[in-house]
Amino acid sequence: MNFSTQDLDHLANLAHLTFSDSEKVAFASQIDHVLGYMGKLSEVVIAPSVLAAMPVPQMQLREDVVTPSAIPFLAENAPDWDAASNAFFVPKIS
Amino acid sequence: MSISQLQDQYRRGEITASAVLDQTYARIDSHDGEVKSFLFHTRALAYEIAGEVDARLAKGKTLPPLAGIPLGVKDNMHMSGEKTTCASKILENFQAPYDATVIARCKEALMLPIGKLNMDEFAMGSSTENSAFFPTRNPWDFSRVPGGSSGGSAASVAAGFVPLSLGSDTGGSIRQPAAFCGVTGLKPTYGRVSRYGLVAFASSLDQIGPLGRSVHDCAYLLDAISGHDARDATSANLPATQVVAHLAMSQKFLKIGIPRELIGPEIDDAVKACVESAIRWYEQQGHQIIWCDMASFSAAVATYYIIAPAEASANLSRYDGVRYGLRDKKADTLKTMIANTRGHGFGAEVKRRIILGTYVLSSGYYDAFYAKAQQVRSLITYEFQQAFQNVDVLLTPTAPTTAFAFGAHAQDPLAMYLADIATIPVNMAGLPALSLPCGFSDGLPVGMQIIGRAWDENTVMGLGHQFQLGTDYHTRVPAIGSVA
Amino acid sequence: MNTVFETVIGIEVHAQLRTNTKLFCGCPNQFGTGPNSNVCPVCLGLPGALPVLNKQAVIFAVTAGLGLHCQIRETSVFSRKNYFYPDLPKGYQISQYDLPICEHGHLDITVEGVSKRIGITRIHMEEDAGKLVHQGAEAISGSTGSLVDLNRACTPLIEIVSEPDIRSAQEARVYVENLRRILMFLGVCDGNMEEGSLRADANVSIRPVGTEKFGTRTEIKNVNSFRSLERAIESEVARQTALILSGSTVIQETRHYDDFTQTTKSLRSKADAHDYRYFPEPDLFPLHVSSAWIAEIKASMKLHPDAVLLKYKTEGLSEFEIQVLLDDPEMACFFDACCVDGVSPTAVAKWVVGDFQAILRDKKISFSDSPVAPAALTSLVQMIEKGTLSGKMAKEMLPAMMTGKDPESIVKESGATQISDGDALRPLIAAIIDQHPDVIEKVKSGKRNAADFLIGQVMKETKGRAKPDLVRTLILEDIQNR
Repeated sequence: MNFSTQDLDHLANLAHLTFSDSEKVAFASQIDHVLGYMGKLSEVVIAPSVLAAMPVPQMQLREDVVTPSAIPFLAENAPDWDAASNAFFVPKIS
Repeated sequence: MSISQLQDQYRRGEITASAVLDQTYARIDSHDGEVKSFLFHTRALAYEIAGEVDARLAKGKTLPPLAGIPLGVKDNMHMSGEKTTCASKILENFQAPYDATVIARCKEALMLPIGKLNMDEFAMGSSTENSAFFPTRNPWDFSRVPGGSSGGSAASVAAGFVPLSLGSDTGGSIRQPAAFCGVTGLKPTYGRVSRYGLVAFASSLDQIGPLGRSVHDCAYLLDAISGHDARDATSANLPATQVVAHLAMSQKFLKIGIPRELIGPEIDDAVKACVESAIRWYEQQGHQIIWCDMASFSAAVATYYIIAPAEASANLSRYDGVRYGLRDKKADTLKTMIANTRGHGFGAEVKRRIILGTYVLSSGYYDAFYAKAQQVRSLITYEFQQAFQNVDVLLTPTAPTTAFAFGAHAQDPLAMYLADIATIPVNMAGLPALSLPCGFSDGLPVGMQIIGRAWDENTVMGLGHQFQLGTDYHTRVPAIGSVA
Repeated sequence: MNTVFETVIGIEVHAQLRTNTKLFCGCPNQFGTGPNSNVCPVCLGLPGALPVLNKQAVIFAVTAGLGLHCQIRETSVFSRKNYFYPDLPKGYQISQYDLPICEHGHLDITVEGVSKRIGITRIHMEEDAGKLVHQGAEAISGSTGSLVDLNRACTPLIEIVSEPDIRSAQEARVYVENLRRILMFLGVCDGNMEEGSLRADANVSIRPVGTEKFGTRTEIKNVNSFRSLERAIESEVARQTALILSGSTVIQETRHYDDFTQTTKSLRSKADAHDYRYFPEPDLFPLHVSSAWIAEIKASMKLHPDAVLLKYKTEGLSEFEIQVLLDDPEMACFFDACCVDGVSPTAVAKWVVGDFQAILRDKKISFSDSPVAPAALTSLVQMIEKGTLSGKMAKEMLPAMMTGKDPESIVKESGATQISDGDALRPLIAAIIDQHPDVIEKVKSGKRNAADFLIGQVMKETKGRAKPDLVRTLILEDIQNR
């Protein structure tokens, strides 16, 4: 396992996160360390009978009935609320 | 004071709920400056409910068992109209627009919500050092952590601020701080308590549970918050528990399993000694002790730190600065805004786990990490099922050590993760488990864990209750003022 | 030497299900009165909110699967598809991924008399995203920012994925037309393409005729009518052909169809590699659909268009009427609602397909929004059959009925029923004949058509209310008796 700062950049891009340069080095090495430890999973052998024995819980369904729901604080909680159009404003997409 | 004592005083008309609140806030105001268990208080709501309790008392009406009992709430459960911060900058000013199901049920029970309790940010951590606001101190030793992530929940009970609190447990977040602070805490069976309104960390593992001074007190709270909730599709279609009633029955003789893996060299000698003496105590009561092997436990931590971050990486994607929470207002494009908001709004541990979770789900790594971890999770569940064919419960230390000093694991996340070895397998299999005090080492509490079959909180708590009827570890309190 | 290319098309159709509520919450499944008026903690993606699956959405998905001859999976699984976009509140879309609810179906099409079977790879359930309104420009590019409206977020969709069995724009059109008809007749989707209740994306590639290997495909989005689907595919095929003939290659990408220029353009040159990091949704356990439940759904299903065709044939409708009705499921639905006991389907069909359709089309109103209730049209037809109204009178009443009035009250108000009582007409007829002795002679000499003039006079005097057949009979009778 060799987790680099480039790997971190790639994942940060996927996860929409930023890191300072000093954070990056520490993070990359910590994550490398953790991923190295996780490598031990590859040694675990699992019999198919074990997987077959797992119970699968049932999905619970909802009847198709309207439950009216007003949400308080929609505008108060919004970081940039456009009151005129009752919508959330976001900066330009690209 | 225990719940039963408070109930008696209410019944005899010796106290009012408003007076209980006055005393509660007085004690918090005097001493929580040192412990720092609460993030903020919910006085207006508490006094409103106290007024209702007192009005009903005055009319001689019967009250639900927990009426007028103060309650602390971990700050990851919504209380409508109050903030829910998850101890994160990204939600610092978020106002909850609805009640979590557990909160609605506590309000219905006329409990008095005292305030919201500190925690590791988004419940990620084992020390409450990851709170974005301040660390909570262990009431037994202010230089030590209270454990985590429900550190505020455990410390507030230990310090005698509240008799009961709500915590959440994803890999040990109720049990480990309960052990570190010398209180009792239960992680119920997955699906026993609704997660609706609990801010998700890892959805398949998260479970809300009670912390209190005794098993008996915790049983009251579990009975109040459990039971099916149609708004949580993973909530089991079962009625509320009736553990309080069960505790009144005589204890049967049980087979208690001791996993060898959890009493080995990674456990501190002092902790081991306390747990071993508890094992002997149970043996003397007539229970049968059976040693067993749980080989898959050695892979549990690695499994957990794949599955939990994977789920968390998706659960935390909603904090994008669009609809609520923090936003970087300087960014002029959407992607920069989202990335900066998250980059600045999340603390180091949360970012670490998002990256880890993103990695194990990403193209090319999914099978080796996430898919494999799910298989190992099945193996762990399977081993528990096998073990429970021979024993009724498993007994282990809750944590390998007593409370550690602040900063002890600051540079080594993996060392902190490995300390969850005894609690993590339980979440993997969705089982109920209790942590209760079983001794002291250098003035610090030691906790033991009792793990039961799915849905068998009765047996787990019955056995814990028996221990507390015969020992006094749970009645000991730290020297903060004088605990009533 | 000229290479001849073959077009290979696969179609993905997103159909919005006609449930009362959204897929995972109890909000109404409609766009609401204003932006963000139709939202709750679940569809807003608030912290702590949890999805609970709508049972009716499952029933509709299974219904669609049965209508397209699919196998229904006993256990299907919802997953999280992870990506960031402001119209996606949770940062992931809950969608079925590797274990969809329906698989291995097919749909038959006929193009220019040739029948062909198009494979359906899968049907899966998923939630829709919200809507963005870009500010300062029509589209993302050039805009200063966007407004987010989450009314549509979490509304239920099924995505129907075809095999790459389609070989021309025309086949693609017929495939989507047939698919839409099936979904509409089964009551699963309202089929409205302009409003986006039914959206078709086309995966298009070309390959030299006779080769096996697929060419690089592009995905064409933003097609909101049958005509634009055909045009979009034709223009994309032309673009790909020109690229290959000029020695270039086709890049796998998503392209946006512009109805105005009738060309496709690259949506975004993705420097961002997509990695959706699908994994099973931990908030929802796997979905079990038992064979007993499937049987129950099958038993209560509405008629498949193939069955509707047979029904109309036995009811005696003309080929033309059947075709018109099958092409417009809303009209067919209206027609079916009109056909109550005691009224002849052929008589109803004449009106629905004929004059009534004409007046709706004239006013640009769809059958589902018709101000005339099916029951009102039925009573109109019944009044004609009873002789209370003439066809002409009935036709003249249609505009008044468009205000929502039923024919009985219109007739009551105007008194304009047909006069079919002979005794009421005889004195008038006698008076008119008296005034025209010349006509009496002509009729008596065998020129019966001369009576038409008298009929016209009677109709004029009765303002068209006299029943023409009866008037003719009575005039001839009167003249014979003179």
